[in-house]
Amino acid sequence: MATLATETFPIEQFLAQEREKDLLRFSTAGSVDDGKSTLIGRLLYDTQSVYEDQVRCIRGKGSTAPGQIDFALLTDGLRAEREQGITIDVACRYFSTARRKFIIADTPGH
Amino acid sequence: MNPAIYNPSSTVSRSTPTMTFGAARTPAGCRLSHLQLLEAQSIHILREVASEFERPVMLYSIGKDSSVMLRLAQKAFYPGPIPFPLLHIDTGFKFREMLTFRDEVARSIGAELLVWRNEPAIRAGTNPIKLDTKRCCGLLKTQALLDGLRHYSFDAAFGGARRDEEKSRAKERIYSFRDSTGQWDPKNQRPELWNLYNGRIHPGETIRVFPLSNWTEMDVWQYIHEENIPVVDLYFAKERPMYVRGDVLLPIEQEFMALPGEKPQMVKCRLRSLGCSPCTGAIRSNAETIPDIIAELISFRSSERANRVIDHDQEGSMEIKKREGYF
Ligand SMILES: Nc1nc2c(ncn2[C@@H]2O[C@H](COP(=O)(O)OP(=O)(O)OP(=O)(O)O)[C@@H](O)[C@H]2O)c(=O)[nH]1
Ligand SMILES: [Mg+2]
Repeated sequence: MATLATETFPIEQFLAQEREKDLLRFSTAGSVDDGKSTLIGRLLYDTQSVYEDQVRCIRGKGSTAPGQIDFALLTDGLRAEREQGITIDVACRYFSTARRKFIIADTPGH
Repeated sequence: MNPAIYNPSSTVSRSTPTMTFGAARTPAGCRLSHLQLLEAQSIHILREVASEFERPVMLYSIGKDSSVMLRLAQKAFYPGPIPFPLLHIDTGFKFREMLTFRDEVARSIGAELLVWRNEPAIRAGTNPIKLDTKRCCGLLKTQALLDGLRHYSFDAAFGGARRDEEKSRAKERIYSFRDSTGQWDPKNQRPELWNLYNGRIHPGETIRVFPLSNWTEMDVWQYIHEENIPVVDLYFAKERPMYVRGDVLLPIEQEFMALPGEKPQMVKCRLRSLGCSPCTGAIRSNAETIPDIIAELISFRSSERANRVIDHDQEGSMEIKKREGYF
């Protein structure tokens, strides 16, 4: 993403847009290994809600084919989860789009 | 007027919304922005803890999150005073500007400020070069925090940690239960449904409470802007003397950090997150105002803790620290 020219950044306009945004809270539900965490990780990645250093941390790890990011590792934040490849406890993650802010609870399979 | 003094008529969100979190509960015709919802949820948490616990305390770390949390505490009990003290864990390595700011804020809002230091470790010359960062943090932060809480018999401690900061923090409850040794067991956390918080503890056990759990870094800066909350000058870009090591800008606060023959250079930079000076890198930046910071935030590709050495000293290092009693 290009760096914004800060002198021209229309802060009040930006904040007004932000104030119009709804907040939606939702959670995943599904059986073990259905791909819930992978989907959430992908959503975070595609909405640019994860930072480069966080992606760097998980590259080359996890259960996916070489060269592919295991997106579940973005939400499976505990060491035991990353080692076992399962979600053990709920993780709350945040992302936003142009219209809405989201709080996602990624749950363990059940 | 001193900007640190909270005056409700001067702020953007004029009333303190008392309803609970979640758009579904908002009465028709009353729409809260997401910041107002976050504010309402945090105020609800602050009041719950103040009424449920014998001896709550607010861990005040002087950074942006603490500054927001402090303002929320003022609002939650306004026009009364904040009904608990502030506790600062001083490692002896905080930036001088932070300490001046801390004392000025506490004085101007009339809050009771307690400072706790692990004096034996500080006297023994503990630093991250002599020890590694992990053991240094263990002594100067975690041990000091556990000792301070025990010394004053606090049973609930507010912290300004946010879930979006770090992957293991995303796993935290709002009421984070700690056993009698202050430890966190991420695999044995209590259910926390909607806005129902379970504050039951046995003697010796404590909880950590995170009223800003659902705030993001962006929310925090927007709130600081809208509420005109004072923050430490180190967050704003200025020419500062730094040791420059590739991409890393290291503050010159502590002489032992200099490599042999290393000379500081003037760099226009700011801090994105405030920690101990030996372990907190600055970033090159031109952001001199809060709107500049918000604009910069939109363009950032690295997380705010990327410049914190202590988060990267080993795989899962924040989780390990939290298990040991860090917050
Ligand atoms: N082929 C294929 N595999 C997928 C897809 N999504 C996830 N997976 C794989 O399915 C496995 C489980 O994915 P997770 O995201 O950890 O599943 P989960 O539902 O979060 O599992 P629990 O949290 O343990 O209940 C991993 O090996 C993923 O790489 C998909 O769309 N296609
Ligand atoms: Mg999962």
